[in-house]
Amino acid sequence: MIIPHPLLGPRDSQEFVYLGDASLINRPDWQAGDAADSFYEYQYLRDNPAGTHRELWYHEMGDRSWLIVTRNTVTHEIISAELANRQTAAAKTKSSRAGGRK
Amino acid sequence: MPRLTPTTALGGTAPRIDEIGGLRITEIADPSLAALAMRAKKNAAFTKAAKAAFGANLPAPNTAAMTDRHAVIWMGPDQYLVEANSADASLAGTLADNFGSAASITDASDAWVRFDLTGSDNIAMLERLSAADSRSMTAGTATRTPIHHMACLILCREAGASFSIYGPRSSASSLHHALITAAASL
Repeated sequence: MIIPHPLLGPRDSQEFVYLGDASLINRPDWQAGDAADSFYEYQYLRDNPAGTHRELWYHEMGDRSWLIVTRNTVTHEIISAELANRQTAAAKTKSSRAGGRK
Repeated sequence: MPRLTPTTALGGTAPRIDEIGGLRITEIADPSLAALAMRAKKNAAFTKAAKAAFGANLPAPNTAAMTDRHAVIWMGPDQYLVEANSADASLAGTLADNFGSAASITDASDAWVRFDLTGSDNIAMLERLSAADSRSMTAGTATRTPIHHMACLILCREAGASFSIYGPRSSASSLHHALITAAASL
């Protein structure tokens, strides 16, 4: 796979390390009253979509930046790659996954 | 007070120089380096201090700003590697004075090993080592790339003619072996 790095251009996926779902960027507040519940959700509950998936990749062999890569898990097509920062994290919160313990 | 003998990254007392075919691979014993990282929400002060300290704008991704006294190399978002053109043990201290609270600065002289690559075949050699497009690199281009699974940096000083390769100092011998092997296989 080739990942289109937003700053460095196309880069081979062997330069990257995969972390997991992009929701991991939104770490719950450990001091909140419902911290136990929210960490349970954060740690264990994931959607496992067949299709478009937003995920975190770390450019370990390159500029050490974190990327949010949108990838089709069925075809491995890379749809987009953007730097992981507060803006992209906020965008994720809005389109947050439907699952989770209620 | 014991008298200690400084050693180079490869463990010798003098820098290693290898000449293989038309290539010359030179270990640079004593690069003066500082890692420069912007602190949060200090963009304006950081940019201003950099302009004053280097007399040049900060380099864009994949490039380095080459000035009379420094090479400022883009390493990552808001992170730079500063290389002094001549040995300067006070580099990190001077930069810390220049940047104040706008940046975090670490002396990185002993974090990296630097090999300089000159000669006619260096593009062919780099193409055997890395996926980086060394053929299109011009003076002042720098790219971070894996070489033999080590996170390295290739800095072009003169297109097609002169390159510096930085790698982790703790893997200096592995990187040297990779360079020698690639040069010998041309």
